[in-house]
Amino acid sequence: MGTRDDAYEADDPLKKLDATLQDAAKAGEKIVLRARDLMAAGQSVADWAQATRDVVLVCPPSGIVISDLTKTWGESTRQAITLLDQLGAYGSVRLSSSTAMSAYSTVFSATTVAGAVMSNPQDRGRRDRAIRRIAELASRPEEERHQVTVLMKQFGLDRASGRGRSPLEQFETAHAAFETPVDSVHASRDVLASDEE
Amino acid sequence: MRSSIEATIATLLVQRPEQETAKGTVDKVLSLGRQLRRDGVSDDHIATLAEKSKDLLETQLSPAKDKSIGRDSWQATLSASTLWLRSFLEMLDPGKLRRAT
Repeated sequence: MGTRDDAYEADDPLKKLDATLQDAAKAGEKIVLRARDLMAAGQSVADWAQATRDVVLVCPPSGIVISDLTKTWGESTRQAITLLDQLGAYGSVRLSSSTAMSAYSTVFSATTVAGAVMSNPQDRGRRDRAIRRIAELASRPEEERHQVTVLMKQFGLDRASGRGRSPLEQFETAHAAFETPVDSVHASRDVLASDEE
Repeated sequence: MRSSIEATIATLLVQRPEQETAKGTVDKVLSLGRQLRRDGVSDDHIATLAEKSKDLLETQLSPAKDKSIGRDSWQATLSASTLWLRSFLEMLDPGKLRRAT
């Protein structure tokens, strides 16, 4: 029989989401451990995709060996995406930084391995909505950005070393590029590409 | 954003109290966490942030996505990177840095 705390947890969408994200992370770790064992036994292993916290490995000749684990991971990931989708019904919900980071990792993992665990268009649509939902619920983007700016100054990261730009300046450039993209290719390079100066 | 994260890690590595070999992003973040963590920050928390840094730099901010990112994914990546930077820097104590003379 469940306790009152259990019932409370089951009804709390954020606690349920946290628990599901943890399940996905644990399932990802089990896959990695199993794959490492297979590698140690000399089996050929292909680097298949990034999992929640580690690399998910699939062994082509032995894929069936870990299919039970990838199934568990896929179910947790799908459930996390469904929960994120449902959080839209809770107008005042805000994700903590740690929950948002875990959610991003899980959803990005699902993106990477979409062909394996999210093969139909309906799943892909839910995944895309989940990405938007995290951004809506996690963010107070200006607050997060301001906090990082303050922290970077505390650590002296507003000062450039050598000829390059300071970490803070690069951080601000990435945000400014998103706010006022000149065009998608050049703007995304400011977010993603190495500083080639 | 990747450059900002890498430059942040590189700058702090130089200012660690003790220099130790750290190859790869995960080892570097672990080294910084061990040496500069605030009181009460657990080993698990440091390890989690180290793993997240690898995920960010090698997957979400991968150069392979340079030309193919959509605006929703772009926003998500920007938010995830900002959250990571905040969590990482909040874990560290600036008073433990070895200041350049």
